[in-house]
Amino acid sequence: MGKVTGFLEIDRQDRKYKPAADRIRHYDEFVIPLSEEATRGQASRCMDCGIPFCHNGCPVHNQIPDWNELVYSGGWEDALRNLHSTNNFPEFTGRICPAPCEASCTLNLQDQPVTIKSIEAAIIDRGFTEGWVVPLTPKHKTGKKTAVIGAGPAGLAAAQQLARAGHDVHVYEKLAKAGGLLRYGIPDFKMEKHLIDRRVAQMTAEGVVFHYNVNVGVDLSAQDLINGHDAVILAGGAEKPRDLPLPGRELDGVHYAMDFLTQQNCRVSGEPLGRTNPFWRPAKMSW
Amino acid sequence: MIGGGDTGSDCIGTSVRQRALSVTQLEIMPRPPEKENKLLTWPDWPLKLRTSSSHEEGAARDFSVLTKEFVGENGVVTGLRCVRVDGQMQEEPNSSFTIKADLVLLAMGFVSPVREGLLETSGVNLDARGNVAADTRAYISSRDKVFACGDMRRGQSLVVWAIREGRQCAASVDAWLMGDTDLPR
Repeated sequence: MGKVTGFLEIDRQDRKYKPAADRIRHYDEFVIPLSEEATRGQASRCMDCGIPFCHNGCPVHNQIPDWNELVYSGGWEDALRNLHSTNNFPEFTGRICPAPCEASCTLNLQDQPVTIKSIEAAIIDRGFTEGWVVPLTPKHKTGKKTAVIGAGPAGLAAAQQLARAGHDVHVYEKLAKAGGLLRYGIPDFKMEKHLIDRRVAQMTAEGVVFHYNVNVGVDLSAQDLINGHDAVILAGGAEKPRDLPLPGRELDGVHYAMDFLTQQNCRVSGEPLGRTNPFWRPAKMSW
Repeated sequence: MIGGGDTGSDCIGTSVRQRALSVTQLEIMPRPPEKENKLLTWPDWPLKLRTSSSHEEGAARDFSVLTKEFVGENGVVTGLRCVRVDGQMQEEPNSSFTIKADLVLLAMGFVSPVREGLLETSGVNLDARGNVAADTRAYISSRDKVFACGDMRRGQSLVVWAIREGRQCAASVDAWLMGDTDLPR
């Protein structure tokens, strides 16, 4: 707790959006970061509770009061080290997490919660700007060969951890690039895709080998892949959409949301739309 | 958009940027309260009305709406026929109405991983919901050497849950391969 009376003196102030009339003309992100001074003030609102409920509200158990204090006192690099100790990709969650930590913030009981998500984003964005995010290569290799199927957030996190433990890691992704729904589902205006590219670059430097356009079980035998590795992780997501089998479902112009979002994401990135899942895609959507 | 969640919200923002004349999001559940009773809900995630940046960009939202039929002409959709439902999703009498639409997007969640291809040919057991059966300690499937994590194991969820499962699964794999692990869970 950097400032004992922070929560008494400072009101919650969060990142603002650029005006809707402007931002709907493009697909770029439109969140305006707080100044460093304002961010440190917001971090000082953390009460450093005896039992910090935010720890448990957060599925990765981010040590939120610890990095709030570090941010308040200006220890940004230590804050980043702490944040990375529980979360491989805070730049993703700092943008698109619904922030259950804030719902569980003790200050939320009688007041407004600490802007935890915005502080998380400020820490990691500063980390990349300052060059603090570097590849962490293992000190020794184990000689074990592992495969991860699916390059969404689960597969990427698993792959990065395994590589840092010294294993050979091969990631198999059925689409042209890594990210899963982060890239092909979530629009750029909520999370720009260069954020994924720079993580993939870090992971590549850490020794992770990415194999794109390989749909395991279709293009490559799952059995052969399992036989050829010491361990295999299935991280292919839950892609089967809920259908609405009503009269008229076959009409042109009725589509799954994810087809629509993927189409626009590929338009924005200039990527020719490759295959998504061949098993449920209706053939009539023209790209 | 049929479905009142975040995917529907993303479709709104995308449609607005594609210059749709009008955008409507339909939700089958009743409109939630504007504010939660914090003394009852804290520290859990409360049910309340959540208005995203995309909603602010211009979308009509309607709640307690059940779609009954996609209406079309010459094979192309022109609208939806809907009814109003109560909190138990029972139809209100004489509540039928229609909405014009040139594009209808189904954003009602994901039921399971795709079974065809990878899961069928790798021969892992699935749980009752069609996810890969594996616990959150070992993360190992019914097959030797094969582990599972993220939405493929737990079903559709948040990015932050995917990161957690990926990290924990890696620790389990490391311990399984080496007999011990320094990776955090």
